[in-house]
Amino acid sequence: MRKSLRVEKALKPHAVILITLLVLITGMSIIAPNFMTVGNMIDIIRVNSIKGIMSVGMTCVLLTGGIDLSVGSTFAVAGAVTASFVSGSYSDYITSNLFKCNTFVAILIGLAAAAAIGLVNGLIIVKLKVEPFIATLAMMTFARGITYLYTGGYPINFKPIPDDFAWFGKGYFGILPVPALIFILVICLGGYLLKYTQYGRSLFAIGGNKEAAELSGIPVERNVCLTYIIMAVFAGIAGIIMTSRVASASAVAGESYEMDIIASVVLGGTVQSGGAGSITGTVIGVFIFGIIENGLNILGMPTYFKLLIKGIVIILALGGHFILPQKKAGEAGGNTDV
Amino acid sequence: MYKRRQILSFNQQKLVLFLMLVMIVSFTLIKPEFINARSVDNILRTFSMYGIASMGMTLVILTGGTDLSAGSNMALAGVVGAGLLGNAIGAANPIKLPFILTVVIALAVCGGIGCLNGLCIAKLHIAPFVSTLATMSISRGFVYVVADFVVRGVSGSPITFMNNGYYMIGLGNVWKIPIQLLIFIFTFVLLYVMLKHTRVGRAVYTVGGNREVARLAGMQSDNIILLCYTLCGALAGLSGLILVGKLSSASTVAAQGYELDFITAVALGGTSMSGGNGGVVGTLIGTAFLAVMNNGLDMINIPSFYQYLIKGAILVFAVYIDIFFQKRAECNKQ
Repeated sequence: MRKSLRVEKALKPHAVILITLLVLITGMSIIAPNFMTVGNMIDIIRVNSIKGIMSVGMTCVLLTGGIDLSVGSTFAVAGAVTASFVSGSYSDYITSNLFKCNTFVAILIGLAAAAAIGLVNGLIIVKLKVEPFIATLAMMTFARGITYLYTGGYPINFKPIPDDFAWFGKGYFGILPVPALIFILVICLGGYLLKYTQYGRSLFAIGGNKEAAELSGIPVERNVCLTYIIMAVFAGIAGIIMTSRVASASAVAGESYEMDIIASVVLGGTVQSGGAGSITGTVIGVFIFGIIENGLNILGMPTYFKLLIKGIVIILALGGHFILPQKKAGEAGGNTDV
Repeated sequence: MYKRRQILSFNQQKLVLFLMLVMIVSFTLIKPEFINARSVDNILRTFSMYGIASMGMTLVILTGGTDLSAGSNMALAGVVGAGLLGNAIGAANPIKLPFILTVVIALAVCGGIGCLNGLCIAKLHIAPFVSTLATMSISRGFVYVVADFVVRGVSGSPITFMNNGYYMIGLGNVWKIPIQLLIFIFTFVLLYVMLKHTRVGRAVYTVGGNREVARLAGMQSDNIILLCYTLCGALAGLSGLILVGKLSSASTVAAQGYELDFITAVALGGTSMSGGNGGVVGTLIGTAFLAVMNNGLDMINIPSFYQYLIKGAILVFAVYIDIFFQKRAECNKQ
């Protein structure tokens, strides 16, 4: 009884998108019989885990009232740096042939590079007071440049890819693919942070009213900075999984991912001006887009249908509150601030 | 004392202008060809194309919004305009319209997408970033639909065509002045006068500053927002037509990510992203700065890898300087 109440409480704010998701799943399984197979379900989870991991981080960033456009570039930096250190990797450019170390250390170096980008983002936003949109827009360009410089524009390939590194992208844990496992861990971590830690609760306060948060003794600057670092590390994890999965790191990896990720977070009900949102919503948002994409692939529709449907789904899901009759104007989720 | 104030009022626009002059001088010293007729012509054309769309973006940012669909709208105008001519290589559509009509329809379609943005933001209260992200996706989808309708074959193939009208707006001159520069100047003057001297223009600033106040002051803020987004869509369309004219080809992947360049130009011009502050003059300077920088860095053979780094650093630096001087000025007042 108590448990069901808790579940209800957790899902109630997401009724609209949850119904959208269920309608999509039902619709798809009627149209395409091979949609509802275990293999396809696992595939959907695996494919979406990469963007999903980043979306969890983006939820935290949006909660503080910020935005991070540099995640696609961070994704590429972490992938390239890690790949260059893993034994067996090679490319036509010198940096990837200089140092080799074991996989674990290589991943740590990659994540450190990502964290450094997040730290710079955070410092520019917090200390120089540059708007997050502009600061991360600049970082998006800058970090992309770093990737090009580091890789020389050449892809980094493996000959052969070490087993322990390949495990991150292609391995299985029971029947669960490893990327999906990491995604689930990241969801749990994100949910725990936002729900049960002082840091997580403070993000809501900061997004709701920065001034008030500051006055009530929350270390606003430190926490905002930390959020951008967490975002970057999640982007780094995603980048490393991708590199491992496709056994290649390229300088153009992750371009325009930021838009997809922000779209799924916002679809999940996180308000863009900060202060309201949840990981549960984000996960539903990620899977709505994931299922649309998977469904269109199964049906063999041209890829641009995805673009059309994606846009329409965003507008309907977020504007739906205002088209349907409502009790009190201006109460439901929408927000007009940038 | 007075003199010191004057120096301290050194703002972002002046800084960007100053940096631009420094760049022009140094590019010329490194490579004298930088200021020959051909290069200047090239810079002016790029400048005008980016400038027209950035003008629209300024309006939207002044209302406190943003328009991510601008790049997709450019491509949409291109394929609609070029497609309706009906003389593309491998064209399969039966429609054949004269040049002027295709331009009008293309602008109307983009204006329509802009209007949809405005409706989502003003009436449905969806955040501008998100609703224009959605229309960015929708508009790009339509680009493929139109292109596939015009050229049957491989999905997403470009529409390549020959037309005098498009050639003129892309590469033509009047008295040795590029036509698109004239279009740009015309747009600029129009918007400048509108923002400075008309009731609607002043209302744009009020709406951007505080929408509630604007509403209480009897302004129809919904209509103002609708107007700004519609204009932004149409102007992005216009600059898309110029791009198509320049290339004689409308590509489905054209202008991807241009919206961020436009936003950069506006931000460099000192317009605040939260709205209500700034103007088209700043955007003119910001666009000129970007055009000179992009062209110059290419001409002096800086590898594109370093260009990314330089562009990112300059953006943060220019915006930070503004914040720095504002803070300074506030301290001085106190």
